[in-house]
Amino acid sequence: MAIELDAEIRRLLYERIASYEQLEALLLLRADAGQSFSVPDVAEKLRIDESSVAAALEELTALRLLEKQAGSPLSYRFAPVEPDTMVAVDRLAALYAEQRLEIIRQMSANAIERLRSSAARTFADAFLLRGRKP
Amino acid sequence: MKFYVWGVLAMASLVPALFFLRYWRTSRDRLFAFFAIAFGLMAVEWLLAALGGTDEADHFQVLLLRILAFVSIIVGVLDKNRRERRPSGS
Amino acid sequence: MIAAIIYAACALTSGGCAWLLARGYHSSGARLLFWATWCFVGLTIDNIVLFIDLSLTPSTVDLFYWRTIPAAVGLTVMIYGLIWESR
Repeated sequence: MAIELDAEIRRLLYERIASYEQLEALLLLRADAGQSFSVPDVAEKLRIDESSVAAALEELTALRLLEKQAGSPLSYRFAPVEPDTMVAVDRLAALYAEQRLEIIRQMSANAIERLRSSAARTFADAFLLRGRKP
Repeated sequence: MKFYVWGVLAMASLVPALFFLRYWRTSRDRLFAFFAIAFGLMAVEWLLAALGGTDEADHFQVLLLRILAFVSIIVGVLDKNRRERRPSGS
Repeated sequence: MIAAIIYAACALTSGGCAWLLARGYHSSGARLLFWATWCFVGLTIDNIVLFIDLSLTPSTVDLFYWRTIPAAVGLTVMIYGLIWESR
């Protein structure tokens, strides 16, 4: 019996989690919230190639879900800036355990919607006088 | 011939206005509402020209609509920039 | 005099939009912006020729088609872009 995801979760998924790699990486880092992970660590745990992992971690950091720590190797830690976000990700993790299919379905729908609206968003962004980083 | 041209312009302004309305609904970015209003006003401008047989060159009321259309665009752009001051990703 | 200022303001606004969209197209490569740029170029020509028509040329000269054809072409390519960009 599939229950539809609520607005907060849908918004979190649409605005900040664009790919399955990002979702898995985010939940992995959240599971060990105090720990810092490097790209090879995550790649090994998730069994995904390092370049995809690196891109995913960077995107999550840019959206203020993770914190990047300098060092050699570069590492990342689960550290959402807003407390609401922390709560939302916790709920997402719980939902992921119970309603994985619904989450995947929503992410696919989001991907299609993003494609459709990217032209419109680029149009709107053109009118930012100081420009926006792409 | 002029009436044909005004008719074409009215429709050609209306269609983008409708697209902008849809973009406003899906993106929730107010800028599109301002653009929809602007192009809508331009459509009305051409419609009035056709009804009156004369356009913005001779008729001030018609020109006024064009002015309002561009004011709407200016307001929309200023509003967007005030809303999103920092040049960062969303 | 006031009228001339108003026409100039309209032309500057549409010209400004064209410039912003051109800049946006240059940085993003999104096709919609390409067509939108030309739409506002057409509208700008309309506004500029309107200014000329009302301020500079005698009333015997009618620049109607010089105004409306660029506007119509601009709007048409905008429609084309909007349709093809909305998959």
